[in-house]
Amino acid sequence: MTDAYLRIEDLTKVYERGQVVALRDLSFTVAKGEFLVVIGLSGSGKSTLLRCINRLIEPTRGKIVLDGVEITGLSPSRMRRVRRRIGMIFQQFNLIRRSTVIANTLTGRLGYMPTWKAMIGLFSQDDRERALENLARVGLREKAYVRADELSGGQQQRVGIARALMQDPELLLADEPVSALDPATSHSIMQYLEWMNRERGVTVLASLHFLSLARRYGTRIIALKDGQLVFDGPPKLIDNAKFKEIYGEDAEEVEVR
Amino acid sequence: MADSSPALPLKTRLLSFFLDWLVWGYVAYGVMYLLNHYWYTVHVDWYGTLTLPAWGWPLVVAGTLEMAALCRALGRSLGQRVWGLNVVSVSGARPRLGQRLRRAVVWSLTVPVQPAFAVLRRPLLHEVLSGTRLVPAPRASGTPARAALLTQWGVMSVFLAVFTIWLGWLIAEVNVPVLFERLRPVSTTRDARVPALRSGEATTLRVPATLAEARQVFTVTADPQGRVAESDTVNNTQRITLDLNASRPDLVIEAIIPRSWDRSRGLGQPFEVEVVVRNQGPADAGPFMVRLQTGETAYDAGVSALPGREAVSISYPVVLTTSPQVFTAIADVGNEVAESDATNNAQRLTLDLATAGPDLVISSITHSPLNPDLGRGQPVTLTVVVRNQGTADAGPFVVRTGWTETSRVVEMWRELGNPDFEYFLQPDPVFVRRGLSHSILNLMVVTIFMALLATVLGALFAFPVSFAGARNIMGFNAAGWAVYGLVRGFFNVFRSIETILWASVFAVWVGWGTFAGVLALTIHTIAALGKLYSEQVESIDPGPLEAVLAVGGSRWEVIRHAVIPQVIPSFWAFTLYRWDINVRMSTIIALVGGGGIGDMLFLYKDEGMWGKVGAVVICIVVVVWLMDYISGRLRERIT
Ligand SMILES: Nc1ncnc2c1ncn2[C@@H]1O[C@H](COP(=O)(O)OP(=O)(O)OP(=O)(O)O)[C@@H](O)[C@H]1O
Ligand SMILES: [Mg+2]
Repeated sequence: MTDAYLRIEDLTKVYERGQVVALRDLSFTVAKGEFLVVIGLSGSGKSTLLRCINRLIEPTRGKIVLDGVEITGLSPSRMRRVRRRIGMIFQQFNLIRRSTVIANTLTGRLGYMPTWKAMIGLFSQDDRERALENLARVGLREKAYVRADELSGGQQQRVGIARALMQDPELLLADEPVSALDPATSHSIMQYLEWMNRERGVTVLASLHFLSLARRYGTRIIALKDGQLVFDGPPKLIDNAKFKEIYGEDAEEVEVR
Repeated sequence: MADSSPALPLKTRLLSFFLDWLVWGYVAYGVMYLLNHYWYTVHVDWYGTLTLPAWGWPLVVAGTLEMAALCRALGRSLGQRVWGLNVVSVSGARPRLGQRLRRAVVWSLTVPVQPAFAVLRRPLLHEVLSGTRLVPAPRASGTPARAALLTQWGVMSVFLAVFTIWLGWLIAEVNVPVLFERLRPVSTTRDARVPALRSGEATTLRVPATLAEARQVFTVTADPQGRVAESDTVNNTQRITLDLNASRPDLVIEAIIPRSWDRSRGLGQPFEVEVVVRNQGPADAGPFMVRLQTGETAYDAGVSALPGREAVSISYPVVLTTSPQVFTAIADVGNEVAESDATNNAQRLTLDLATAGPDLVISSITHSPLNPDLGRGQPVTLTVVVRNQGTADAGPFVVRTGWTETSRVVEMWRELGNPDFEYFLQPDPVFVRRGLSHSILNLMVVTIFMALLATVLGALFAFPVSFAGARNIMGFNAAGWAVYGLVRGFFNVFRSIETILWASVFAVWVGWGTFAGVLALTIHTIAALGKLYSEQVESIDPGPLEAVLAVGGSRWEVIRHAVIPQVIPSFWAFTLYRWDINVRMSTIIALVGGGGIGDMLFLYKDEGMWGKVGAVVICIVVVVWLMDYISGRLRERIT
């Protein structure tokens, strides 16, 4: 399986506080260019999985190999070089609310800058033009100099996308990118992710709450339950029985249009 | 007996109990204090404080525990309220009174074994036997069902408030009457004894006194108690006015002496009255008129000049027309002389054919030289001459000298309300003599700069250090925790030592002056701002940190691009707020050698120059208010 872009082997995460086993011997691979959707109940370990991939969370055990490089053993500085090619989008957007949209977007370049320039906030002209370009891409060109907290939720998530675009990512991790948004806005955000995946060839790993969104945008779905893999396959293979297995007997599928 | 409720953490139970116990401990202390104060010192002939015998301590401990327990079982106690707990019966309803009482009684009987039950996590006996339980109470149920004052909360609040005022009143020695007493004028008297004074003779007394005011009246009275049966009792008082700043003449009638007068010649006899006029003041007087008046008749005589301290004698030919007959002598009837005291110019003599009697008068009062440089409060010696101008000897009597000073407090307020801006621009010579050019304006500028410098330096130091004092920045490994603990410890210790204490330390270290003041202000600013900054850093949204880490940022870049942008506005606000504090603080640290405008303030205060104090205080108020306003405005803009 050397052609896998991302390979995860026996990944286990135990949170010391409370002795919670969030991930249990998880193994799967992701091919380049896939749009992989991770689904599962709240607390099933989706966020933990995504954060282990860029080591915002230190895995307890197991191996993560990205593009032939084993990430799990990397030194902090090598890890930072890896991270700059991994974009990440958050449920709560994680913008600096008091800063301008363009300042937030520019932080996406930090991984590419010498530290001294980063410390005095000296972004190159090239970076600034790129930021405006990426903002234009997500339709926020005219909001560039507005404070981030003056934007709507959907607009803030688009700033998050622009920030990820600044990294020129090969891989995009999206942790519930739309669960703070209304259905219509959710689709618009998901379409940006789809665009990145199709036009830019970015491999996407997105965790989603709604199966309808997962079916619509994912090329493949994996499902977690109590930190274990309970489904791995194309969207159309999730039938009612599978759904009940993932979400429990009482669950009822709702659709996001 | 299955107890299925979620166990209340033992720590919460103990803490809330401890608070209740503390309240009753406080009450016990207060009761002991009041006993000592009212009972023992009044009814026991024993000075000292009430000390508990050895067996008393367990009683106090048991009593306070019991009271706390009763409060907790019978209603909702303070501790239960603070920790959001409530006693409910197992069914979840309000417990009945019987249950509550059972809870309290069983608790009291089983205190010694309680720890064992708690540690073993067994259901507590008093809860089991009373069928009640202590549970976290939902916030909303905190609204009192009955009138607020009738709840335990209300009763305890009122009781504790009254109790505290009572105790505090005694312990802090509150004395309201003194507030008003100190506003009343203060009178001083000095008595000198004269054993005997023969008819027609005089005696000289020296009275030590104090010149309390720049201009002061001394009143001297012979025989104030009326022990001597005099022929005239209304002429026993004389006065002198001393004025530190003016040297003036002061005319008095020293003596009125009837010459060639014989009681046996009866009415209609002509005789002479000799009037001795003395200028008891230090300056020369004249010309002036001296009048002798009896009944409707007045005789005037002129005096061309009378040097200071000298006397002149004038004889008037008169006729005795009635008995008793009153002769009144008045110096300077035309009021031509500018005297230090124009109300002491008359004296009288009563002649009585029927009876002989002594008649005491104060002839003259002179004083030792005044020294204007010594100012008020200097000692002065009065030389008082007492004469018996009557026809019989006088027995033992006293001569009383008295003076009144206005209350220092009244004077202080009057002067404070009448500020003296003489040295606002022009340096005060008091400081010029020490080689300092201190005017109010000058020092005010110095003070503002002290505050500014300390604020800027303090903020610059506190800024980087505060990140080391934030848990979310440092809490990644053991070394980080160690640094965090150290920095926070430094902030807390150095912050709790007040600026004024730091100023005293630095005044010893680097000498009195503004440098010591700036050091003190800076140290305290670093610690105080550092703590505020750190807390602000700890309260930021962690999301952006995660985002910057995720794009490949280093720890430093996280601080620069995720932490600082979030905290900068509040850092500015804190810094401006601190600037406020520093301006106020810098005006008073001179008290312990920190320099600044306080140098003038406290010198003037020590010298009792309240007018100048008033001027400085007004300037301080204006500056502090201005700075306050400016920083408030800036803070508004920032956040
Ligand atoms: N920092 C932490 N410390 C201890 N336990 C944690 C921590 N973060 C998560 N957990 C636990 O790990 C488990 C997995 O959490 P995770 O956040 O990965 O779930 P999730 O699938 O993302 O849920 P959600 O859909 O609610 O975001 C949960 O049981 C959670 O309680
Ligand atoms: Mg999650």
